[in-house]
Amino acid sequence: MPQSFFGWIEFLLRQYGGLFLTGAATTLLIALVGTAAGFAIGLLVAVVRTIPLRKDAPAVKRALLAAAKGLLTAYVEVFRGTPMIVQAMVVYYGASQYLGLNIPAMGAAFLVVSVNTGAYMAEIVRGGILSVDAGQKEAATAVGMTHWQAMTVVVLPQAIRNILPSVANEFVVNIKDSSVLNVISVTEVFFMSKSAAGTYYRYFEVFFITAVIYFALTFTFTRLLRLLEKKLSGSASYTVYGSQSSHRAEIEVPVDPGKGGRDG
Amino acid sequence: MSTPGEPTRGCEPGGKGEPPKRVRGRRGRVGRREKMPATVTARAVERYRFRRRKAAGAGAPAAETFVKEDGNMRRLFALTLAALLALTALAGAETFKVGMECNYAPFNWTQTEASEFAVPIAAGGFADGYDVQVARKVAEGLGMELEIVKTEWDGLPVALTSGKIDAIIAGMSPTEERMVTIDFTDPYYVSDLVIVVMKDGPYAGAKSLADFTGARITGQLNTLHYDIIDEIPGVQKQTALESFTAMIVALAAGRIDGYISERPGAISAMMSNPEFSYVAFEEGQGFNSPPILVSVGLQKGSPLKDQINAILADIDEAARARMMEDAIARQPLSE
Amino acid sequence: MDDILRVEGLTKRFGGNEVLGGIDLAVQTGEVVCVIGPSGSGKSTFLRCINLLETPTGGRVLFHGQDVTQLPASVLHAKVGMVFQQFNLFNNMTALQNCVAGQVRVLRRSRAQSVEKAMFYLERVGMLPFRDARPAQLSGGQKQRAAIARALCMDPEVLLFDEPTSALDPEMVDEVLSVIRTLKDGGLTMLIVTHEMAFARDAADRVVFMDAGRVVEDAPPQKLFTAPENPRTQAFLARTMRG
Repeated sequence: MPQSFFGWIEFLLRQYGGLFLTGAATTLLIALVGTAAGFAIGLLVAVVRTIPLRKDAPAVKRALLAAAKGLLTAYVEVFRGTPMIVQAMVVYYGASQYLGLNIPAMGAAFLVVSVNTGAYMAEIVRGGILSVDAGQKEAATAVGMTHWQAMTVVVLPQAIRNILPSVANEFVVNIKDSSVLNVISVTEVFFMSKSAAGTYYRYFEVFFITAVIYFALTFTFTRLLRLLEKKLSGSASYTVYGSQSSHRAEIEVPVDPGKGGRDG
Repeated sequence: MSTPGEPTRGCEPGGKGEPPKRVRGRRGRVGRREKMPATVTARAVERYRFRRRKAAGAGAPAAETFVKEDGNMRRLFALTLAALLALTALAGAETFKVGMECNYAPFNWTQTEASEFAVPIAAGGFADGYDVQVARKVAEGLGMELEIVKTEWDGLPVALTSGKIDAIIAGMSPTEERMVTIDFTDPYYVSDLVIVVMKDGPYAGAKSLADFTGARITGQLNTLHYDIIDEIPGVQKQTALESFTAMIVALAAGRIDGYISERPGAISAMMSNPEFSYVAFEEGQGFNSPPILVSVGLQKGSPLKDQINAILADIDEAARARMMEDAIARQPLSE
Repeated sequence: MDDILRVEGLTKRFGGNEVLGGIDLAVQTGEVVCVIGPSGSGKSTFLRCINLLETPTGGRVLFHGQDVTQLPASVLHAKVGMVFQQFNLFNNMTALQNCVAGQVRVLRRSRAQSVEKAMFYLERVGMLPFRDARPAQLSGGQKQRAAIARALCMDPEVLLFDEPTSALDPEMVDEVLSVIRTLKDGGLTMLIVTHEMAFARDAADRVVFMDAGRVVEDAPPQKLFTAPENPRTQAFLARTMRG
């Protein structure tokens, strides 16, 4: 039996390395799919919830819109207000027991994490939309764009750039929260770690490995999202065409990332 | 959103108000030391049956009361059944899905290599241990193919009632609350509780409960292990801990003087922590509470119950002891 | 000349607050009308009711004799453009893309055509060298000129200006005003809410003085600025034209 802390770590990696990797891959896959799908759901929900209710629109249309908004609000409140572990059990076991629907474990995992994340994302996106200056939507309307066009062309791109830090947060949360899915027989990295710890009766060494795995996963993807954020902020410089002396000149002006703009 | 590893205990069957006991009970016969004579087992089983009859109440349906059957008759019945099932096995075996956690050696663990004893887990790795061997024997007896569904403790009862698994062989004990939602077979294991201590500590040479007066002792959260500490006179009962590994850390760090464990678990703990030792009790010197039994959990009204009882009856005391010894020898820790 | 724009009895309430109390106005094709008045007089709200950024509570707005609420929104907004006090350039696009977006999405022009038109108007407002810059990199005057180009790319018949120079530093006010003057020379109908009295006097065909949600006086600038009839107009002009 190994004696030192690192001796045990090396031993555990040799013995259990493959299983740790499989568990990590499962965790990552669930978190990625869940966050991406949740993000899409959140965008959709937020766009519908911000459709303006025109007072002069026909009554049927207004009733339909109000009903849709009510339904979406209920969705957001219910899925934010109940624990994900209960949602997982209801979808995986409850559907089988009461509806005769047999959903495979991984499918249930993707579904639950996506829908759960979607509820949180809807509020995050709504906050992002609120943070975009109202004048942007007004100008889009003044140019003749529909609500949908104004949202997709002008408002959402800006809102998304603003909320990327929160999206990264949700991803990190999903990486860690995926551990509750072990109750529906999904073997992600935390469940695997409990097996390793229970087989070898070593706590610190096993969970040190687990912590390193979680850190590696979250760090990598938060950095990637940072890159995306930078990309959405525009290029590092812009070109001014023509100077006063030569109209063919092209002057490369670097963008100072610290300052927002020049004046006004 | 919960933090990892802390599932909400919302789905224990019959759990209203007080959280139900998370019971794991074992008995291990290690080596040649015949400390617990067979009469204890018989007595324990008798007591179990008596409690069941009591629970059922007077005038309960026949299914709830036990009849002392002739062992031979039972064996004949089992053999015929096995033969019949073997025939159906030839025709194409159904799967017998068993739920367990696979993270508590030497009862059920996860390993990376295949072996003739290990059963592959769908999600990766192989399961082995005392519980797995019992599951193999049961599946064999039923003529079905064994499939291990690795699930966290809180998900096991729901998995059973919703049909995702056919049985729970995870060290679960029959309790009043659980029996409301699930049925249990006869026990396939009886706990033998010891106290794990530091080898060079003041309690290593203890012989009776009284020797632990003033000691700081703890047990696993939500289990009968923790309640049983109250039997020690003058004990300093510490806060319950979530898992055995947490208790190992606490003992090694000197925050407790000992924790309650089943004997095989204690032996495993000693293998990876040579500074530990454990105190086992002679008859009469140890705990007075009834021994903790472990059975197979089945769906209410499951047709498999009688068949499984028959199969289990076929595994006698000596066989069980051997299975446990072998499991301890096979566990990854003893390599 | 026909009335290109006619406002009849326009009222607007916000809750219990009556902001516009019945506005009547007629604008001829090619006219430049400046609207002046103290803050809170409802000038901006009036302008926003014309292109339906606000919904009027009563009265109606007619564009070429047609009620604007009956027109398809894309048609109305293309024909009646708007330039905002806070510029409201789309922050996620360059100046060029700002001008192209509306054409491609609303008017369904081809990208090539849209870019050509955008370059044309950007040059007209003097922003062609900065076509690849984002709003954050432009000064206020540059942004407003780009916003004017954006509105022009939609080939509007009427342009509404909501205090176009109020948010600009003094040295940039002139560059925007000169752009607006060139537009007038091109024959574009414009309705401009402004505080720049000198500009109103020089460039407007008519000046409308609004106060407390109503039109108080409506006259050519030579008459209104030198000999206002209404005492409220006189008081306002006296306050603002001091010095």
